Amino acid sequence: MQNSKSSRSSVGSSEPLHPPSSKVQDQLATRLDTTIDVVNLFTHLGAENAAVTYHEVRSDADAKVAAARWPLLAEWQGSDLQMEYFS
Amino acid sequence: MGAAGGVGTTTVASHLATALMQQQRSALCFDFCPTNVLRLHFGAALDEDDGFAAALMGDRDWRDTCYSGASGVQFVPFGVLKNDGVLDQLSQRFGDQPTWFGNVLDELDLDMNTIVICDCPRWPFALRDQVLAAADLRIVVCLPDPLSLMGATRFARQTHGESGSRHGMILLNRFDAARALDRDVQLLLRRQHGHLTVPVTIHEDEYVREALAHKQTIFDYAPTSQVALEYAALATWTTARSGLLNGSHG
Repeated sequence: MQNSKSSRSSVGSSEPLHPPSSKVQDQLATRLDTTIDVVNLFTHLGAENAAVTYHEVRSDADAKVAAARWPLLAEWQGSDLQMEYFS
Repeated sequence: MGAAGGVGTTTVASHLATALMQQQRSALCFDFCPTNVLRLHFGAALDEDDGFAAALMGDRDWRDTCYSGASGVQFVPFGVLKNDGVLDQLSQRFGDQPTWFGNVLDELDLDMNTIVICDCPRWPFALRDQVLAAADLRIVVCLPDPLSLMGATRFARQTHGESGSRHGMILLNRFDAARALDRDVQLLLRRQHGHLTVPVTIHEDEYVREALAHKQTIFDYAPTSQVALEYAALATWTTARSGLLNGSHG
C-alpha cells in the first residue's frame, strides 16, 4: 500500500524520477527548434496565425510525396487536384 | 459494388450481413451478380443453382428462392441462367422496369431492424442500376492499387451530388500495411477523399480465403482474427450510417 501511494505521488509530480539523458534532451531540443522554425517561417511570410494550419500543409505534402513515388498515382493525383480546383 | 473486378465485393457483402446478424440486426442479402457465388459464403451447396433471376426468367415466384444460411442470414441467390441470351433478356426486362427492385423491397415491408445487403455487379448496367436506384448507402469496395483507387474515386465523385448517404462510400479492402503502395494509396484516399471513405479498413488476411474454402465465414473460422473485428466495426458503422435512419435498404 505504501508503495502504491508512493507510486501515485511520483506520477502526479512535475519532477521526473530521473532526468532525461543527453540524447533525449537533444531530441527534445530539435523538436522545439522545428516548432519555432515553423512559427518563424509563417511570421516571416506575414501570416503569423497561419502556423496553426501547419499540420494540414504537412498532410498535403505527405500526399504529394506518396503520389510522387508512383508515376501512375502522380498522374491521377494531378488530374484529381485539377478537378477539385475547377469544380 | 466493386471499384474494379475481383476486389472482394462478394466477400464484403456476405461478411457484412453476417456481422449485422451477430449484432442482433436482421439481414437479408441479395446477390445481383450473374457469377452467383454469394451463396457459397453462406454454405449453400455448389450444385444448388436456383435463384431469383433464374426464377424470374422461368416465370416462377422469386420468393421461393430465399434461403437461410448457417449464420442466420436470409439470402437470395442470383441463380444460374441457361445462357447469355437469357441474361440479355433479364437486362432488357430490368431496363424496362428500372424500379423493380425498389418495388420489391417496398412490397416486402421489412421491419425497421432489417438491413438489406446487395452484392451489386459493375455490369450488366441494368442489374447494377436496379441496386443503385434502391440503395440508401452505396459502398464501393476498393483495393489498394491504382486502378481500383481511380475507379472508386470516380464513382464517389459522380454520385457526390446525390442527397443524404446515397453517394458512394469507399471501403479499402485487403490492405497490408507492410506494402509501400498500400500505405500510399491509403494516405491519398484519406487525404483527398477522406469524407467519402469508410472509416474502417479491411486488412489482408489469409483466414478469409481459408474460411470460404471451409464453407464458413470468418466469424466461424477465425472469430478472434483482426479481420473479424474489422467486419464487426464495419457493421456498426453501416448501422449508424445507413441506418436505420429511414429503415431498410443497404
